[in-house]
Formats: sequence, structure tokens, C-alpha cells
Amino acid sequence: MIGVFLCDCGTNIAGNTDMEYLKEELSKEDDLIVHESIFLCSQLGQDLIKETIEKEKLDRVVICSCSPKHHGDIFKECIGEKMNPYLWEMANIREQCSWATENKNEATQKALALIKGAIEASRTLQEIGQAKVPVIKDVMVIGGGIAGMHAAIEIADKGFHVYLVEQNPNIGGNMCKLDRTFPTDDCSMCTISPILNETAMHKNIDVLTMTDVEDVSGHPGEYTVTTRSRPRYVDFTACTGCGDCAQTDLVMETPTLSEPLWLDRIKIHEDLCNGCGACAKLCAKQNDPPALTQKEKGAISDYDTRKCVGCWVCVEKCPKKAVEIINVCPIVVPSEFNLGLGFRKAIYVPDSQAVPLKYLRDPETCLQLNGTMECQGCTTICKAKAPCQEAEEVRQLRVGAIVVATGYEQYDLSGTEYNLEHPNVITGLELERLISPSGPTLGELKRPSDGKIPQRVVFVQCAGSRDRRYAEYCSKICCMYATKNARLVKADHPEIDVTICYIDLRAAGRGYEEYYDQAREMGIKYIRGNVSEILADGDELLVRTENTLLNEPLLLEADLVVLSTALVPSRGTKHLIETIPLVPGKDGFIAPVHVKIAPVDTATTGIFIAGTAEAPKPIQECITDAGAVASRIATFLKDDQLTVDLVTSHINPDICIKCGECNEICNYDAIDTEGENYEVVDVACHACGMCTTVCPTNAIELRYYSDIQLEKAVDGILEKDKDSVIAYCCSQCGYNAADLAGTAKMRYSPEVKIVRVPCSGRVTIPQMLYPFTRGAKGVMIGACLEGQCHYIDGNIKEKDKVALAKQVLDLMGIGGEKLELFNISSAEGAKFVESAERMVSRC
Amino acid sequence: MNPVEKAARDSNVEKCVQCGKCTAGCPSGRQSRLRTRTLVQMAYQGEDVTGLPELWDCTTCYNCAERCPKGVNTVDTIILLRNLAVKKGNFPKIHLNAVENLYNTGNGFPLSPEVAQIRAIIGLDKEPHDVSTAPEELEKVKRIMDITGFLELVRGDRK
Amino acid sequence: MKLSLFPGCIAKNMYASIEKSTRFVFDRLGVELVDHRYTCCPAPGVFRGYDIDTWVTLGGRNLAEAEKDGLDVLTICNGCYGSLHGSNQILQEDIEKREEINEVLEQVGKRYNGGVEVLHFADVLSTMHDEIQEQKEFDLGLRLAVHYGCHYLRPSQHHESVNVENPHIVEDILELVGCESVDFKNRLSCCGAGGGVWSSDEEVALGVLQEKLAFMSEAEPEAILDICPFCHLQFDQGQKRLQKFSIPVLHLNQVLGMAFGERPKKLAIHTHLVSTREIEKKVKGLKKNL
Repeated sequence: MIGVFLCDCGTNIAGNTDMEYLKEELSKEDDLIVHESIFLCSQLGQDLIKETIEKEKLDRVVICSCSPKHHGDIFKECIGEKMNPYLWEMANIREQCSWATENKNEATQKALALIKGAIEASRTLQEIGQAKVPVIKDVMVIGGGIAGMHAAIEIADKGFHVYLVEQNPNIGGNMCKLDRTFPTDDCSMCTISPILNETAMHKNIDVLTMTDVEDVSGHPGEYTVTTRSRPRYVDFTACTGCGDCAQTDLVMETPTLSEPLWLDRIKIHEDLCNGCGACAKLCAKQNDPPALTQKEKGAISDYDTRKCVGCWVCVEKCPKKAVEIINVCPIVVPSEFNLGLGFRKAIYVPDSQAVPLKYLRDPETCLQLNGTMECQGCTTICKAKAPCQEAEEVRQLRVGAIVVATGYEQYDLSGTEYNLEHPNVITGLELERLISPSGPTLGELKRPSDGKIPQRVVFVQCAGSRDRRYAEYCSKICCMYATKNARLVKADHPEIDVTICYIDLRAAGRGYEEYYDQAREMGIKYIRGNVSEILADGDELLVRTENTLLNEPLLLEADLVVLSTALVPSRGTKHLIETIPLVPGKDGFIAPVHVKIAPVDTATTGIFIAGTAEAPKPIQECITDAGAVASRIATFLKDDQLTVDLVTSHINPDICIKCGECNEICNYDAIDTEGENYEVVDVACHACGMCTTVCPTNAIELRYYSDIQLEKAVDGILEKDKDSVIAYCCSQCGYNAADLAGTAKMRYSPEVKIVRVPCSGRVTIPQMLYPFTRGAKGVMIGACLEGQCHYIDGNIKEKDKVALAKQVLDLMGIGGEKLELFNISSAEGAKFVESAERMVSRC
Repeated sequence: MNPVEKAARDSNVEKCVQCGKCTAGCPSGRQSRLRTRTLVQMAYQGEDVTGLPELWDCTTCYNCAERCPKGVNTVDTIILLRNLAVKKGNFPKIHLNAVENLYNTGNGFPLSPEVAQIRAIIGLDKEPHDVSTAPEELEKVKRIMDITGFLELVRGDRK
Repeated sequence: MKLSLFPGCIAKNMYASIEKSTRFVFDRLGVELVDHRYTCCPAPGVFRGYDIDTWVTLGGRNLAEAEKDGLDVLTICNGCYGSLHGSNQILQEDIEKREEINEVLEQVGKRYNGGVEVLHFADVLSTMHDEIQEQKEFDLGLRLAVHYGCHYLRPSQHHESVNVENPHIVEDILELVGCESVDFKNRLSCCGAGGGVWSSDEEVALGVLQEKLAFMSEAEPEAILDICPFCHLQFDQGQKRLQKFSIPVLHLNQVLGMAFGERPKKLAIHTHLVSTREIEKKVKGLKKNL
């Protein structure tokens, strides 16, 4: 007996579906027992399912309700209590039917067809067992910003060992660069400092700085991550961070440095020098060409820093101690940490408070490393003998779970109406450096062009945010951080005119509105108007906006303009999206598997997200994310073994001819070809099903989503409704996009009926053609975007198969245009609808 | 939906969040009463703006449309509104000269004897090789405008 | 290369010097220009504002003329470019609309199938750097205030290869003939003539112009450089109407013509309202020194 359970979902389904009719129609079949519940997912509904399974000795269950992506797990668990949890099917009559269909009658007919498909498919299901997989109790956190550090500490505190991977020489991320933070005006460095130290000192955390993630392989519970660490060229353990090597006499007048400089290393004190010429002689003896030359006896030697290799013989041997070292390293370049405001040497730490406080040499500009000269400056001066030759280090680290906390960066607004090329147009993060006590101006607000204290500062909100040309979304934190920076400027310099041009002031958060009120009280002027352009007037700027509340265009004169630049996914975030791969949202950030109920889980089990890699958010939310991730990981890794359902492929040895095609197509090395028979390695298998499409003898089959299961699903649908376009949708993207369309109440033709497949690459050519032999009007395939297949390249391989199947359809006289593959991401509900409508219009 | 509202919807005005970027960068607005943001909002609300003289102060420089963060086609809105205004006879009558010129010579700016003289001196055809010097073609051009009813529309003869 | 020249009303009927320079320059660059029986583009501000359908239909008739000979259209005016490019976009993309327009065109024995590309001469020149270099007789050494003009830059879908907020295509061409482009405030803003404002609201048109000229004059250029006869007209006549400023106005093709060695008088740049005498003198001097 098959139990068919219909869910009203309040009025979500019943409001647009004739439930009585469905019951009546389904009850006509002898082997079906039909029940209806107002909320099947409720305890009452679940009890009904369990009781019925027992009482009626059901051998299959069909749940007709929402998307399996929504409540599938609840039903699986519920049914699993009474029978094998794979002997049931789900008909999605909410997202993909009642919500997606305009007309109630049509929705009802479509629901009936979908249910019939599920019933027929359910008859083919087999019991599926479980396997135990060992779990590695180590965790990798990628990204050492506030979210990554906090996650690492929380996870490490729970007893797991953590590798914290950071691409920069120091941990702390963007938060280290901030002056103070809203809405409390706490000093950012004071807040983060204990966290930096705890991270670095924690016995359960290994911090790997200057390290990039190159590859991630394996499966949940057992990932192998390949990392590559760039050399510091300074011995990590030997370096004491004393800073002797980076000693300098450079005082910057203005905070910008655009080009590298080459400074003098030594200074000869004229009052002490007696013109003996010893320095020049010794220099000539040691060095060719010499840096010191004496024109005539008694004269002070001439010095050419570009020839000086830093042997310091002149300093040591001058009888009058007239030669002084002023720059051990003569090379000065713009500081990355200070965003080009301020400078650093070729041997440097990013910031005086950097953790770890270990120097490094930049191989691009270090005179010794780039081969300019046999420079010995820092090597001879360092008492710890830390400067050294080092090579890259590649590691293969095995971890059970991964946290991605790779953060954001600022949108590059060069070449736009915002005139970012002008030195006095800066970004919010740059202003943080200009007002930070550890910044290039030691906290004194000096504008970059001439070092003057600006008297008129204009903040420009939504510079790149909420803008279809740059970043369509709201960057969330800018209203508050601009308000914060405006307050700090005003507090330090009440005489400065501070204006904020905004579109909408968004101050939703604990203490935010009050913080904003205070800002207005402090005399910060808020003008409701977006900025159209920023004109340069020498060092000054002219900002064109409109006071929209007065309906008047406005020209604001400014000495300094601060852009509240849009936050975009960092390069690291983008790199991991491709490497792992992860699912990006339309905004480019990593999309959680469910934005509400699984906000830190990604679509890949065992890989979690925290912080601004997921979306722009304030520090407090990064901390919340990190705590949530730690908790999720503790749950995920709590047992020594993970239980894996064997929904994987398996090989029938009786008909396998060992041709190796399956092994060839498998992206996960999951086919064991060593033994007597070919076998699938269950823990390695991702159950994408691509192997089943290439086996010439049909010896390999997915346990779930088998050929016969899909065939019967199609049969069931078409039995009830021939006016159908069968849409094979991959469970990673196409299916989700359809759910999303339904959730947004986007309507499309009820002719489109979805059959879920694990990956588009699982659909064989016969499966594309089969629906036509049963009277279907068309077939479409909903696949991930190219380059974003969750099984690496299933959608690319499917493209070739579709092209071939189209030719067959042409030959059959049906027409190749009746079959089409669409690349649709999870986030593209509208694109699914458009694709569905396009298909219906041509069939 | 009234025609003004329709014109607005046809150029994505519903996406407007009234940020003011259009007015902020409008070169004409600094000299005139034209306030693109307000105009667009009025049209969105279906107010009849076809009689506003500033509708004709837009130089169609496209600064606003180009930079509109929401992709509102502000200039197209104005053009569509102008089309509606013309149907009601609301437009600067001085443009009638250009309209008559277009109909009679095929050119908005016709050739003057002085320029014809210059043309001849510098070695160009004294009269350009265009419709104005090809009577048969010019008749066809007039016929096209007769079919589209251009002249009647502008003169207000069309019902 | 062979193209159909669309000179536009103003270059033909008011600033013949621009048409003359264009023919001279493109002849020297080895581009054959063919004439067709064109009407006004028709002007995008006035006529499109009056009746979009008439505007597209007349645009379609113009394009049909070039299509008959299988030629792309070369415009030397931003207005003509914006207008013809705009109507071409509609006629190429909206097949229903095209058929609607063709029903009218067919009544006078014409048809447009969407097979023509509308080119702006500055874009064509930007692909001919080598040829320009070859034809150059001397560096002009002029300091020029470059005015791009609106309908060349915007809407940006006309020009996906150009950053419309920071273009340098004209500057790159000028560099080839030894001219320097001076930086000035708001350099990409409007001249004030477009949209029918030139004729209907002199105060506004001149107000916009005055703002632009004030910014330009701060940079003390020797001349204004435009790529559009209508902007050219606005700058040239507008300075007289304002009774302020007297910065000579040059179209890019006039500058190239002089750099290619043609005498300014033969290009008739002296027919402008704002005196070009200083420019002519300078060029004469350079020619003598050759």
C-alpha cells in the first residue's frame, strides 16, 4: 500500500488547489490510502504519517506538500522512524505549483500530475542503507579577519584543532584598519587586540599567514586542503620584531606616497668628520663601485646611496664616529596596510601592532631579493640573524570541516563620476587610516594632497551601492560608519563643516538611531540627495547633489570628500567560490544554503561561512556568525564517524565489462578499479550520477534517482497531463531557482513540470527523448551556470549531450528546438520563469 | 492607467527611489525650473505634466539616465511626455520652423544662399547632394510624413 | 574602406567647413565616401520629442538608402549619430516595430532590413592611428579644450568600449598630431544646445554654455575642440550671443586637416564667427618652418 499525504499548508496550497478533487481522484486507485492535513509538517501531521504507516502497513509514502528543500528533512526523519527513510517521494505542490500557477483549476490539474509522478516513482524505490565515514577532528578556517579569528577561537575552545589560514602577513583583516567602531566609538584596535593575541597564542590554533588556498578535495568529514605559503624571507622564529632593520628617518609631509623612493642609508656629520677619507678608502676596498668617494684630501666624502650595499664598514671604522645609519633599508614604497597613504620599507611589518609581529621582505622591492645588488643592510644589522632565503611551502592539510571567512573589499570606483583619482577624494576605509592614531598621520586628519586640515568634509553615501552599474545591493554598514566617522571628525574638530549626502539613512540596529540622533545634535549636516559628480578645483572639490527635500540642485564645496564605497566580495572570497566550489548569490557573495534557517551553512556539507564573505555586515554580526559556525561545527564533528546515506552509485559486477568509462568521467576518483571487480567508493562518491550516463552496459546505477525512478516519474506526470514540458532540474540550482520563483509568486505556465535530478549531467540522451515517446510537448533541463556546476562540470558535459539529442529530435521530425538546456543559478527565479515561458512558447 | 503614467512605466519609472542623482547632475536644471526627479515622480503618480514648460528645457544630455542607479530611463520618460504634450498642442511654437523646414526641404536647418556661396568657393557642391536637391525623393519624404501624420499632429489638425 | 557619408544639416548647410574638412581628411586616409539622398537624421531632441514614430520612420528611410548599396553610415555629428544609432537599434532589435515602419516605407518603394551599422567618425579615426600618423605633415602643438558632446558618450550602450565617465579616445587622436588636451572642470558636460533647447529657450541654452565656457577658459586653451557640428555651432555662435569669451572653435576633422598640411583657408575655418586668426597664424608659421 502507498500512503499519499496531502498538505493544505494552511491556505498556501489549499487556497489555490482543489484538495477535495485531488482526494477524490487519488482515491480511485486501489493501492492508495489518501490523507489530508492542514499542516503536514506539524506534530499532528507527522503523527498522522507515522500512525498510518503502522496501521496500514504502508510500504511506500508520498508526501504532497512544499519543496523537499524546505521540509524534506523533517519528513525524512519522521518516516525514518517507521520504515527505511528512502521509501518515500515528495511532490512539490506548493513552490512549484500552487504558488507558481495563476488559475486554481490549472494548479489542481498540475498538482495531480506531479503527485501521480511521485506515486509512480515511489514504486521503484529500494531500501537504502547507511555507511559510517571517519571524521577528522581538525578544522580549517580560511580568513583571519574578525569573523575568522572569532570562529577559530570558539572552535578551538571546544577542543578541535584549527588551522587558521590568512593570505596577509598579519591577522585581523579590515577591522585592524579601523579607528573606532559604531555605535559605541570603541577603539577598534583595543577591541581586537586581545582577540589577535588569543588567536596567535591558542594551543589549538595554528595560524598560517601569507598562505593561499589552492585546492580543496575530499568529502564532508574528510577534506584535503592544499595550501601554499609565500616566504617571508625573514626567519619567523628568529625575528623578535625589534624593528632595527626598518629604522628610518623619513617624515612624511603629506600622507600619500605614489612611487617608491630610494633614501640615503647613512649621514656623515660634518661637525665630526675630519676628512681623513678612511670611509671612502674602506668602501672602495670592499665594494665595486664604491658608494663613498673622496674628491680631495680633507674633504667630506661624497655618498651615492644607489651604490651603497649596506656593509656599514664606514660606520664601524670611522675614527671620529661621524657616520650614522639613518636608513638600514633605503627602499620606501606605499604601505598596503595604509591603503597607499603612508609608506613602508622593503623589509617591514604591515603595522606596528601587527600580529604576529614578525618582519618580512618584499621580494619585488628588496634590493637583495630582486637582484639589484648584493645588499647586506638588514642581514648585517639584525642581531638575531633573521633575514634569510626561504622557499614557498606547500602543505596538504586534512580537515573535517571548513569555515570560509574571507571577507569583503571596497569596490574600485576608479574612472567613475566619483573622481577617485583626485588625492582628496578618499574612501571610508582610507579615512579610517587617516584618523587612526597608528595611521600615517598619527591620527591627525590631514588631507592627502597637501597635508592641510580640511575645513569642509563631505561624505558621499551609496558610492557604488544600490546602483545597478556597480553593486545593486545596500552595503548595510555605510550609513552607520559614515555617521561614526563624521562624529569622530566633528568631535576632534568642531570647527569643521561635516556634511553627509545620503539617499536613505538606514539606522536599524541596537543603539543605531540614538547614535544617529546624537550625530545630528553634534552639528553634522545631513542632506538627502545622491551625488551625481565630483569636480576637481585644484586641491578643492565641488560636489554636485540635490537637496531633494528642497527640490534644489546643490553645489557643495569641499576640502575632503569621503566615499562610502560599496562593499564587494574580496578576491579571496571569489577565489574560493571557484576553488571549492561554492554557490555565489547574484551579488557575488557566498550564498547560504537557506538565508533564514541555515544562514551559516553553504550548499556543500561541512563547509560553513561567517562574516562578510556572506554579505556586508557590521562587526557584531560577524561575531554572531562566528559563534553560530562554531556551534554548527561542534555538532557536525561531534562523533568519530559521520553517517552517510548510500544514495551513491553502485556497480553490478555481473554485467560490468570494466571498460573504465565511469572512472574516466568521475570527478571524485570514486571508482575503485584495482580489485577483482570495479567498485564505487561510497564515501568518495558525490552521487551526481554522471557515471551512469556513460556506462555502455548499464552496469552502474544510482541507488536514488535511478533510471527507472526517473522514467516512472515522467510516466506518472504524462499519464495525467500530456500537455507537459518535462523540466529536469538539477537539485543544486535549477530546482532551487524554480522554488525561488514560486516563493516570489512568479507565475509560469502549468505545462512546465519539474522532475528533480541530482545534477544536470545525470540526464542521459534516452532520458531526454523518453518524454516525447510518451506524448510530452517538450523537455527542458535546468542546470547551474557554466563554471558553477556543483559537481564541477556536469552541466558542460550535458551541453554536448543536449546538442546530440537535438539532432536526433530533428531527424525524428519532432524538432530540436523542443529540447533546451538553460543555465540558471539558484538565485535566478526570474530566469527560470523566463526559460520556462520560452520553452512553452516554442512547444 | 492614464497616458502619463503609462509613459512613466514604459521607461522604468517605478524603480525610482527619488535619490536625486538625476537633478544633481542636470546641466539644464541649474539654469531652469527643470527638476528631473520631481518630474519623474509626478509622472509616476499619473499627474498631468504635459503642460509644464520645463518639459522642453531638457537638453537630452543623458547624464541623468546614464548615472541613474536604478536604471530609470529618465530621458526617454521626458521624450514620451513630450510626445503626449505635442498631441495636446503644448510645445514651444518656435519649433514649428524646424518642422516646416523638415517637411519642405528634408532638413531641419535649410541651406542659405550665403552658405551655398561658401560651399562653392571651398570646392563643395554648391548645393548638397541630399533630398533637398532631388525633388522626386523629397516628394517621397513628404509622403512618409503625410502617412505618419506628422504635420497635422504638430499643427494640431489631427483629430 | 568605403562608407556612406551622412554630413547632417549643420555641416552641410551652416558649417560647410566641417564637411569640407571631413572629405579632405577621409580622402587622405584612404576612405571612400559616398553620398546618398539623405534627409535630416532627424534631430533627436526636437523631432523625436514630437513624434517618435515619424522620427524612427525617417531614420529608417535614411538607413535604407545606405543599405541599398551595402554601406555602413559615417556620421560626423553627435546628433546624427545619436539619432541614427538610436533608431537603428530599435529597427534592428524590435522586429515588430521594423515591420510597422517598413509598411510605411514600402508605400514609397523603400525597405530597411536592419543591415546597416551607424558609425561615429571619431570611432573610425581611433582605428586609424597608423594612417593618421602617416598623413601628418607636422605637429600642431595646440592646447585644446576637448568637448566630447553628449550623444557621442551617452547612452553608454552606444559605446561599450569607451568608459563614458573617463573617455580618452579623442585625446589619443589629438596626441598623434601633437596637440595637448587641457583638463578642465566638468569636462564631459553638455554644451546646452540639445533637446530643442537651442531654439526654444535661449536663456537656458546660453546658461549651460556659459558654465561650460567658464570652466574651459580657466584652463586657457587655444581652442575648443569638438566632434559635433551642433556643439560647434553652439560654441561658435553662443560666444557671440553671450558677448563673452572668444575661444576659437575647431571640429576634430578641421584639426586633422590642418595637421595633414591643408591650408586653413582652404578648409574655410575662417568662416567661423569666433575669429580663428591666431590658429591660422600658428599653422602658417609651422608650415613655413617645414
